[in-house]
Amino acid sequence: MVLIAMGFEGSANKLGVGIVRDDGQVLANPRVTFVTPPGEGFQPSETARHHQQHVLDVLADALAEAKLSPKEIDVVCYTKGPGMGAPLVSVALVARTVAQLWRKPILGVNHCIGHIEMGRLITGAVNPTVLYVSGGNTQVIAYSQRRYRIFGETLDIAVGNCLDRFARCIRLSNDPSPGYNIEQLAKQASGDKFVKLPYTVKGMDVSFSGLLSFLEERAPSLIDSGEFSQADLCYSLQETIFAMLTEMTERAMAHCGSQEVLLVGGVACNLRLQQMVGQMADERGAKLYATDHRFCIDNGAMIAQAGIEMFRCGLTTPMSDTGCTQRYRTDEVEILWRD
Amino acid sequence: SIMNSTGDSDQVHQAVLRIPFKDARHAEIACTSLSVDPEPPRSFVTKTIRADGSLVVVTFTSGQVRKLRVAINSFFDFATLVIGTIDRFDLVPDQ
Repeated sequence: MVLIAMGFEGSANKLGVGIVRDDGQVLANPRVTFVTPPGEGFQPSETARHHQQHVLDVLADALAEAKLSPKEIDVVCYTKGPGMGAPLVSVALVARTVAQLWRKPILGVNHCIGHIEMGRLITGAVNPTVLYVSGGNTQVIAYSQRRYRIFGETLDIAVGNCLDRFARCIRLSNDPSPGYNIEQLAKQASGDKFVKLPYTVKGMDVSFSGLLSFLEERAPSLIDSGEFSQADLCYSLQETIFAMLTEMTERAMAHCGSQEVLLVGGVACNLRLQQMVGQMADERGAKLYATDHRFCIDNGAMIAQAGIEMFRCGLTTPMSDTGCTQRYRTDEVEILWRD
Repeated sequence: SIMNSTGDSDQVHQAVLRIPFKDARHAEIACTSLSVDPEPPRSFVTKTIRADGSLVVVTFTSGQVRKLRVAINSFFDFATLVIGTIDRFDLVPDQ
């Protein structure tokens, strides 16, 4: 029997509704992004308003793209957390309502696990060490005994948050995303000019807030001096933070004896990061797996995919438990669908 | 009744919304969707919500009028979304 899941995602500034079939086909995955003006980040209440304005249209788009009617959906999945409160609730409300209207079971999904399961599906990686890097999360994860265990993580801010805030500092456009624009600008640097930034790996973990403060304080004067361009600073930042991530990932791979590494999350779109981690993997005789922007960046299909795995194990969420939670650790979920 | 509370006055301020739906089924669905999320911490507002036939009845209680307004505004955004979802995605009879 074919199973079809619908997934709703809105934990940060991306709003997506995806439809996935249990044979691995992604039937629809429309998404809209709340883009703020240069120099500004996105606040919870305005982000929630954005999601409220767009979610019903994106839902209609998903059904149209998949050429399905609601009765053909078997389970409605939504992001329970982690993420921003009001945006999460805005999306959960729609999921709860359609689940009742269409008389379907509902499933609350962990956002991080959505990334992992979509990464595994799209790339075919069997049992990879996962580097999950986004605006809200930075973790190195490996599967062990029914849990996605966090082997290393940021001690303060996510690497994507570091990138986003530096983009604000130099007033880069946030369209399509600040990280994308930093990546393009970094490519323009000659590579001859490098600003030495605080490289902070602590045991199995990393830290970015000291590096960010350091750079925010110095960027205006470095640029005004004429010695460094914005491109040089973007280049220096990427080289440093990606090297830190590569080191943290390599440590976990060595610990686990892993032959596969999977990159997921919005920052995983970055080709320089893929190149650096890929080089490290090559040197270890391991293989790098990565997807493109459709699945790296937050999307609804990844929630549907994790939901399908959960649903096939017999899980559903009672309506009274369909709340949202801003903190939701990756290792809190029992991964019943793996040995 | 008058309760001791922190804030503007000794009075308990209350607002009641009665939202009509097409039928009891729609009212129950809306009520269920909107009753899951707790009020934010430190909101100083208690909210109760129940379906009464085809009406959804929401009662907001607070010692501070300001806080009441915040809670009701927020609730209206969420209620509008649920009502819009029901209007647009209810199954047509043959589905």
